[in-house]
Amino acid sequence: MLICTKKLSYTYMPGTSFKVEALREIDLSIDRGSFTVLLGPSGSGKSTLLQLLGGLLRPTEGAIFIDGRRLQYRRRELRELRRRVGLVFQEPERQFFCETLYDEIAFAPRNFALPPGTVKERVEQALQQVGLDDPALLQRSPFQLSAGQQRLAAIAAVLAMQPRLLLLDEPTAGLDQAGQRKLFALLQQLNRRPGFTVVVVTHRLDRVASLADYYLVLDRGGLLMEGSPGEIFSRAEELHRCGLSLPPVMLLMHELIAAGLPFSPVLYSIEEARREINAWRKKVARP
Amino acid sequence: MAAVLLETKKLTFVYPGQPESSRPALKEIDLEVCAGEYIALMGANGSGKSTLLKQFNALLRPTGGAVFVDGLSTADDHCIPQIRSLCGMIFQNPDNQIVGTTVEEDVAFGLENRAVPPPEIRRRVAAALELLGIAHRAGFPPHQLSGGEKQRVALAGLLALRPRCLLLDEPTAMLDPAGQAVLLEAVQRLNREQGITVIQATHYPEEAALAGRVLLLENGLLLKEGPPNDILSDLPLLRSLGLGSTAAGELAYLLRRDGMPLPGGILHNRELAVQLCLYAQKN
Repeated sequence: MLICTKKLSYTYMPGTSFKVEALREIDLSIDRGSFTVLLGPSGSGKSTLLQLLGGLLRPTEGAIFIDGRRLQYRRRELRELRRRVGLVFQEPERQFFCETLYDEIAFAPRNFALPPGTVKERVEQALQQVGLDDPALLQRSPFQLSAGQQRLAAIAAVLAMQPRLLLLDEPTAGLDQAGQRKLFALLQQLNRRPGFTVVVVTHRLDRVASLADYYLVLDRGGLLMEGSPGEIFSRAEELHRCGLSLPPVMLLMHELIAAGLPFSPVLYSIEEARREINAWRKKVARP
Repeated sequence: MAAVLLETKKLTFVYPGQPESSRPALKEIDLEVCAGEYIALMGANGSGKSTLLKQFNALLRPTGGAVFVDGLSTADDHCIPQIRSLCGMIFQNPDNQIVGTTVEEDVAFGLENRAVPPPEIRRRVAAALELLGIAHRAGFPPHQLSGGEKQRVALAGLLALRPRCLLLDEPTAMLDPAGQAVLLEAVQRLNREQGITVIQATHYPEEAALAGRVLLLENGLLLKEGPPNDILSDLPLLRSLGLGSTAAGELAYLLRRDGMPLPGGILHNRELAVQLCLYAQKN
């Protein structure tokens, strides 16, 4: 799915003295199959943008185009949109309400009135994708799962609709390192399927930096930057000014460079840094 | 040696409703925390970090063994008000712990509950807001604040009660980088300048590296404790627990494994920079 926005704006409580302009005239595009990271300080409009892209909010001005067609917010269009776009909120496991894991995952497919056989298939596939396909878990309460498993189950509940675009708001908050690793491995695996698009809002860039191929940066309701990782992270000063940070490995490389060492400032993983330093070592080592 | 402020003796805890035979959430934990320490609590989800924090202000009380706060047992009902004034807690999600309709009111809540005279309340609220750099927000409704500001409001509410110890349960998990930095800086300053004891549960090695001592929990057991340079450079152990080290710690470990002569215990970017410069000089 290719998404573009033209002068997309959203104001909460317009026409009242409480109005808040959350987004102003955003022009952006998200390519089919990309792994896009949405950055921005608190209050910059990230969650509002996700809800607009997921069709939960309707722009107060401007428009969203999906595969070239302007979204008109007709009932059938919205139904289709909600099938194709999966939205994973912050702490999504707080929305669990079914008595068993199976019912939780089956909720959306049933809601869309899919035949029972298809519902079962969808549940099995979704749980397999997130690695929770142990049959012993199916009849257990979702609240008996560990925190990491609950997060994965909440994502499975969205995947059961077989979306083509997954929007996630701070998916790793509160997860331990193993949980974070698992979650990003899942997103990478989904993104490898042709045409599957992932958009992630996150403040922690350590794991996402080596996966992302596109960045959108919001600041106070406006689009401050969009582009490739290289384009975004070469503007470290501007990111810093709006309260954002570089991925930890880049901060480390900056420190090494500041100490006079000849390394590249734009690296996305510890592995890349390791290779670069080992290559340097061979050069400086006395024969 | 500073006085012991918190102490656990064979602390065991089983959540109510769990069968006696099930694995306890905490098992026979022996721990002493001195006044003024800064402690990071690390462990996978479900290892018992939050459960342990909640023992120190008697939100939970031991099912076996004992917990003492400044010599007072949390098992003694009469001590609980005093224990809760000594140890205050903040949680991961700032939205779940704010009750006031304005920032000022929220910070005053605990003091009003303790029937502190109004002029004193006003003084303490103003001082706490000032200390955390949110005095300009005093009259705002909390929902208009950023996550980082809300977390500082929650912290101000604790400080107004003049606690000796802060229990912080992943306080930065929902904050943006600027919000994280300001909050951590405030906590460090309170620890350094006012000698307030801090126990902070965290999944982020960068935060644990700021502490004076790191405790590693696994399945309710206190597995290992020590200074961050020891604990966070034991990568094989951390990984076996599903944890990791700082960027510099991870990289230094890998470079050492590749045969580079680096000393152990590197955690901070600057430390690695210094060691690489020394290496370049020697060669």
